[in-house]
Amino acid sequence: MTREVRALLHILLGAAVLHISLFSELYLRYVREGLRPYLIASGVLLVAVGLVGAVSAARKLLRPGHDGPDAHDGPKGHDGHGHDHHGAPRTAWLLLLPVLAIYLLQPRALGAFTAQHSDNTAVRPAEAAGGFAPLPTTDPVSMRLADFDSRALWDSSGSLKGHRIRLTGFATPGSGDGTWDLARLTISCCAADASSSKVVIRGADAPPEGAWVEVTGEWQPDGASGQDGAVPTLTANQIRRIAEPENPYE
Amino acid sequence: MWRRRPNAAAGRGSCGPGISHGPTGWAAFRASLEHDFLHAGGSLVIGGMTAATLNVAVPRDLLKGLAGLPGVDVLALAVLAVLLAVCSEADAFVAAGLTSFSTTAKLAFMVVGPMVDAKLIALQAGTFGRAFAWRFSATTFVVAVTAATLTGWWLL
Repeated sequence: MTREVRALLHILLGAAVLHISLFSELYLRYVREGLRPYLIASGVLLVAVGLVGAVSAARKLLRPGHDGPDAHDGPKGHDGHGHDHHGAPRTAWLLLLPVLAIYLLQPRALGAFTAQHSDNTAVRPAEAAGGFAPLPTTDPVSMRLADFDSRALWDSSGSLKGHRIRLTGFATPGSGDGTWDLARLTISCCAADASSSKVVIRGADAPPEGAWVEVTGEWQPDGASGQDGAVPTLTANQIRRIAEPENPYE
Repeated sequence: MWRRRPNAAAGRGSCGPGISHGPTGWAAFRASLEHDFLHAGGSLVIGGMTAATLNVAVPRDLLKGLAGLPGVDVLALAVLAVLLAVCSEADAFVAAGLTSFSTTAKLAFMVVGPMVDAKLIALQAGTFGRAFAWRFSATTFVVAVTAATLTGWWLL
């Protein structure tokens, strides 16, 4: 890998990182919101390293007589242990893959496939936390799916009773015949650690798989409470199709 | 371990761009930044692709079947931690979701995860050589699982 190619690789990768973090909100599909400053900083650093490398490569080209020992790649294994200090390992070419992925594929956020193939994760609050806080008095109450699941399964005082609940998520095929779940994924760091929250929706026809909807309805206590991995149920009064939110994760 | 088998220990000692004859100051800083990035970056891509593939390919139902077996469940989650390569900031949330497993198994998942995982092995293989990476990862894995099992048996 010549120094020109190395410089270009840095610039391309830096530009790709800046493309998803500084010039758009695409990074929210892959990592959590708090990592944006770090992404921007590394993008800027990569572009800067690449630009400086390109300038010094250009200078070397203009003064061909002054090629230093590191102006070109040495032969493989010249220092006796197969490790080229001045060039780069062949694996460095793989760094083009993320660049191509970002510009050509623009991978979408995790969605219905992931939710369908993973268990429902409802956080069981610690005993010491002193139970659940009372719900706000607005009608309907907008909640995160994760909070709804956790209250539905673990709140013995039944605080969800008598409230109209509004949940936002995407449609996912359910475990039973003809049923569908409303699902939302939560990430704590990046998409690799996504966990899913699901709610079985009753009383409404299934929207197309992956479609984003806002569901308003009432909790259906069905005896599934107190079980890990159970999926609570909501009887829907109203369903509204919405656009995918800027941040697809909760 | 390395003293007993010194031939593999040398690995690739003097990394870093041309210490003896290289540039100095800012130029050296830039050169080593580039060197480190290109060496680590490629391995990181390999590790990331491996972890992502395994994350989709490992059947979770198979895992659930192992949950009830004492001893096996610890090993199962320890191996899962290596395969998934979830960062240490997030592995507690993932472990909390593995509800059917014993607390000791979850502890093993959280202890092994940051110590040995697919992307770390790829990084170590790229930097220090494959012989080093295998021996180091295997040792770390055994130590981490033992520590987690002993702690779990004693305290949990």
